[in-house]
Amino acid sequence: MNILEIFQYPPLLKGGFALLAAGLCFPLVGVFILRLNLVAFKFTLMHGAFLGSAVALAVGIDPLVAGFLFNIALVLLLAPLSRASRLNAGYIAALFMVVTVAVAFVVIYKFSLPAKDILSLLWGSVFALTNADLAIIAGFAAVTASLVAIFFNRIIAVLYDREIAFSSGINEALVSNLVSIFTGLTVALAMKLIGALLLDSVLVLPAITAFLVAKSARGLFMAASVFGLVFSMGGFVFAITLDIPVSSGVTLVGALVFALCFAWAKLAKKRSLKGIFKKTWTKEY
Amino acid sequence: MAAGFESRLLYNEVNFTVMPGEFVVITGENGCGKTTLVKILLGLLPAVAGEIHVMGCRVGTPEWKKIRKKVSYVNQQAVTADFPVTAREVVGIGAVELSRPHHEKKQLVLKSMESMNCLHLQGSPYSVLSGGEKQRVSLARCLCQQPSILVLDEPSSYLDKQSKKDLLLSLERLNREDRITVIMVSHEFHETHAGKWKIVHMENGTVDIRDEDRVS
Repeated sequence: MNILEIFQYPPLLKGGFALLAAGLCFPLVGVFILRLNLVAFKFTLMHGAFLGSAVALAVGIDPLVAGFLFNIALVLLLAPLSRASRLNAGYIAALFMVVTVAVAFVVIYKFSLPAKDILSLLWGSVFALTNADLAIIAGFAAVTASLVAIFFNRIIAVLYDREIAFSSGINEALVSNLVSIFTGLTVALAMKLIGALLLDSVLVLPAITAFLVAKSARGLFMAASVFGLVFSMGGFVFAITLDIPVSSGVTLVGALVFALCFAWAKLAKKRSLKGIFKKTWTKEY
Repeated sequence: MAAGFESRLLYNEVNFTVMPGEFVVITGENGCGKTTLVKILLGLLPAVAGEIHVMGCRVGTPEWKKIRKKVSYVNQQAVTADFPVTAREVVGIGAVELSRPHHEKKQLVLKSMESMNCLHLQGSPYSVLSGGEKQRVSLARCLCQQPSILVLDEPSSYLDKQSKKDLLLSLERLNREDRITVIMVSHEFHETHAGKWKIVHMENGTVDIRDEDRVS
C-alpha cells in the first residue's frame, strides 16, 4: 500500500491520529513511572485494566471505560492498603497483580469470552477505534500535556527529591496522587491502542531513551515526547509498509532508536572522558 | 518530644529552643536520631509524643502548613541526586511556591546563584557537578526560598577539605548577614571557623545543650 493511501481509509486514519496523540503525551507519564519507581505499580494497573476490560466484555459495556474505572479504584486502594498494612507498596502491588489477573481468568472462563476479544486486549486494536475512543485519547493527551506544562516546576521538584519538594512548600502528596491516577488512566488507554503486551513501547521506552540523552528536566520531557512521536509514527508507517501488527512495528522502531541513542550516549561519554584526559595531560605535562 | 520507630524509642524527653538568628549544630553518634529529629522538625516524620513549634506554629497544623516553606532543607541525598536536571532548575525549585510574578522569580533564581557563587554553573547538568558545587547550588535553592530557618543534614559528608571550609563560610555568612537561623546536623564541626554556635549533642536518648564560643 502506498503510504499516502493510508489517509483514504478512516480506520487507518483514526489509528494514526490516536497513535500521534499517544506518542506525544504518554511518554510524559512514562517519565513519572521511571523516576518515581512505579514499574511494579504499572504492571498492577495493566492487570487491573485487563480485568476491567474482561468484566466489560462479560457484561457488555465499553472496555475502555471499565479499564479506567478499575484502575482508578486500584490507585485509590493501593496506597491506603500499603499504609494500613505497613507493607512495602511494591509488595501490595505484586499481590494485586496476581489477584486481578486470576479474577480476570475466572471471568473469561465463566463467561466464555471469545478468544478474539481477549487477544485484542493483549495486542491492542488501533484500527478498531470508534470516534468516541479517538476523542477520549486526544482529550486525555491534551489534558496530560497541559497539566505537565502548568505544574512543570512542581513536577520537577517532586521528581528531583520528594523531601525537598515538601520542604519547599509544594504539596508533593497531591502531585504524587495525580501522577498515580494519570498512570492508571494512561495504562488503560495504551492497552486499548497497542495492547497489554507492548504498551511500554509508547509509555516507558521513549522515556528510557530520553533519560539516555537528556541533560535537563525540560529536555527530558521534550525528548520523551519527541521519541514517543518518532516511535509511534515511525512504527505505524513501518507496520503498514511491512504488513505487520502496529504494536510490533512501534516496538521494533522504538528498540532500534533506543539502540542508536544508547550507542551515541556511550560514544559521547567516551569522547568526553578522552577530552578530560587530554586536557589534564596537556595541563600537567 | 519523643521519637522512634516501631518498638525502638530513639529518645524520650528532648526539649530545647532555638532562637531566631542562632547557629545550631546537632551532633551525636550514628543512629542516635539526628536525622529523625530534623525530619520531625520539617514535618516529614511524625513525633511519637510531644510537639515541635516552628515560628509559633505547631508542626502538622494548618497554620504551620502556611509557613512551612520558611524552613528550607538540604538533605544527605543532595550530593548524590542523579535526575537529569540543570543547576538552574534545581535552584528554581526554591522559588516555586513564592507568591511572585514569573519574571521576579527568574531574577531571584539568578540572584541566589550569584550570591552563592554558582551563577556560572546555571546551565550545567547537576549530576556532573562536584560535591562542593552541588552544595553551593543547594544553598542557592534554599536562599531562593527566602527562608527564616535553614536545616542541613550532614552537608559536608561527601566534600573535600576545601569544599567543607567554603560551605561553612557560606553558612556563617547566611547566618550573619541574612539573619537566617541555621540548624545543621554534623559530626565534624570542630574543623571550622570562629563563631558562636549552640551545640546540641545527642547520646543514649538524651540531649546535652551548650552554647560554645569557639576560636579557630
